[in-house]
Amino acid sequence: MTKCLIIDDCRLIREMAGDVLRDHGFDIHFAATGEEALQKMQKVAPDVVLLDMVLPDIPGAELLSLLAEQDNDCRIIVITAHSSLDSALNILRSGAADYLPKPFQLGDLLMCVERVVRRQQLERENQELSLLLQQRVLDLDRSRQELADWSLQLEQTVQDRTQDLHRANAKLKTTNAELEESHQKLQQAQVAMVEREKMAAVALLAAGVAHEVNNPLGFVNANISTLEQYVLVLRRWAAALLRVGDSYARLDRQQFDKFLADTVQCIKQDSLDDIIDDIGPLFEEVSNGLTRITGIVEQLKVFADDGNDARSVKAMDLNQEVALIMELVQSSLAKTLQVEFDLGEISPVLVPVKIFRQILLSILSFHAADASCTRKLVVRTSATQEQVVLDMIDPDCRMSAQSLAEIFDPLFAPKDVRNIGGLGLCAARDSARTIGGSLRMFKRSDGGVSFQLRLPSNAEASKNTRRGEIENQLPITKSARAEDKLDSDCGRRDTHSVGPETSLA
Amino acid sequence: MSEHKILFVDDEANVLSALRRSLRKEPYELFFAESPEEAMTILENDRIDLVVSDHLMPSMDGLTFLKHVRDLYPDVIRIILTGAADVRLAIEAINEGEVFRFLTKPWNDLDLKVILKLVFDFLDLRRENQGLLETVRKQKTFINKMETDHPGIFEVKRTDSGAIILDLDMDEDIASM
Repeated sequence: MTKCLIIDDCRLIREMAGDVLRDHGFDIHFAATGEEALQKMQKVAPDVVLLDMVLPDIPGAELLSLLAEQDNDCRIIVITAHSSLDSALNILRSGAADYLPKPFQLGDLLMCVERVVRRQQLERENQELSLLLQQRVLDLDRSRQELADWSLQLEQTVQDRTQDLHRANAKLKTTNAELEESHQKLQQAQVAMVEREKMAAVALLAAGVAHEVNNPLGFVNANISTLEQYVLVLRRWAAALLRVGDSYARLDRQQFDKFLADTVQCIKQDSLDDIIDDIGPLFEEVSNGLTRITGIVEQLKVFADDGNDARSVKAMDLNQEVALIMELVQSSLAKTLQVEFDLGEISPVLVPVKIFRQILLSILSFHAADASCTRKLVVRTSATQEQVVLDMIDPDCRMSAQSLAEIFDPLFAPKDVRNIGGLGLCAARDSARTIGGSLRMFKRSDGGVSFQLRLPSNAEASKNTRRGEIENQLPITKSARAEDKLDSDCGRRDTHSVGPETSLA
Repeated sequence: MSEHKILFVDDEANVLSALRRSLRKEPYELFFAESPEEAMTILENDRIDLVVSDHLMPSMDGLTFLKHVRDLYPDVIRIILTGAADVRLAIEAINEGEVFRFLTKPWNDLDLKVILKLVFDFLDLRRENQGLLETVRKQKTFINKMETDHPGIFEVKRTDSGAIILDLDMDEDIASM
């Protein structure tokens, strides 16, 4: 509600004006003197003041400026009896909002007051709005600043993140390179391990060959040393005999008797009879030993002569090949290993011979190293429609079912292992796959354990063999790979590159 | 001292006859067996001093055979002579079979003769040592017996001035020993 202070010393005017204004919704306050006006001004803080310029205590102009000073916002309407234009202008200049000449109509008064109030309200609204606007501008500025800050920060963050990403990427690249490198190294190590296992199988053969050669070499050597002794004796005897002959020619009886006695003595002392009797058997034994060594060397040549490429394929008589290898290996295991052959009618097999031998040697060296295997082995070959089957059966093998299940695990180690682990068999199985065959190990119904190698029998091969031996490059069969993917397959990736390099030569 | 007796065991008859020839002039009595079983029979019947065995033989390997020999005849010296030059085997032979020497084929005649000489020097020394030990043991027993029968017999009694007191009653006893 608009507060209005009416200042007039005439009670009648005060009340008339007050009534009118109160009727129009104003909150009315009165003051009769200048002193009272100043107090009320302070107390009420009116919006509009109606001021009579003629008061008993303070001159109107002075009061006007005092009031205007006291409250800037308050609008003062001056009521004056001197309605000259000049004084009206002065009044307005000294801070009044309007003036009302006496005598006035109550309607004029009301109109004048309402006009002033409306203007005041407009000004106030204006001021508020402009304040609001200022505020808004400030807010906007602040927001803009914040936005700029954020944007800057965002940019920094994006930059930081990008750098982080770059670093992480570089790190990943390095890690990737390292991983690739270690992967490569692992692959190499795997190749090397598989290779070593294959070499272990070859070493078995080599040990056998060494033993087989060393034995005859031993007695041939010893016999030749003995022969040197014999020759010395014979030369001594011949010299003595020459002296006898010489003295006989010179008819020197005394000398002849002496030398003859010496010669007889020589014969007795060196047991010449024994020596002469022994020379025959000695030569026979030496030649026997040399024949044996020659035989072994011939056998080795068969191995060496198979061409340089391990994957070179030729029609192979499996029975003959097995017998050859068994005979060679026999020497190291085998004087202690009883081998029994049960070889069936089978057509030639078309596989790389070297890979086949390597598989067979792996099986044999595993069998030799494993403590649960015995010193008996039945070698059996048979044929199905599409395959040739080679069984190496240990009839009394006591290998546990668990060992059998794990036997192709690359990390499997047989009991009392000497120099070979599961890797050898694992490599052998992979080799078997690369040539289109398979290798299994299982317990037989009759109690023994069988290493079973199946190879594709090739009808073409048998035809070709009739036409004569062929030698060609077969593409390596991969179909067998799909057979059991669940199995561990060590060296699978490398079998191609590794297998062929193992050579018995 | 009687001739030393050597028993060679090898499944290869040619090796045995070559050895027989090499050692025909050596002062040893030679025995030959083509299998460990045959060798065991010879060991039962003759007092063999040294066994030289091959390793790879059909019925039983040489190391196992020599372990049997060690268990039955601990005084017999054992040597391996094999074509399989396997370090592991050699270590096993020396550690477990207490083999005196591990020889490989082909062997050198002279080396073989030297080693045989060394073996018998060693053996003779060991026997002499044992004999001496036996003598010492016997004397100790004798002394102990005398001490039990005649307490204080080995104590020398002296007077205060250091002169030895002879107990003449003992003379008869000692003389009767």
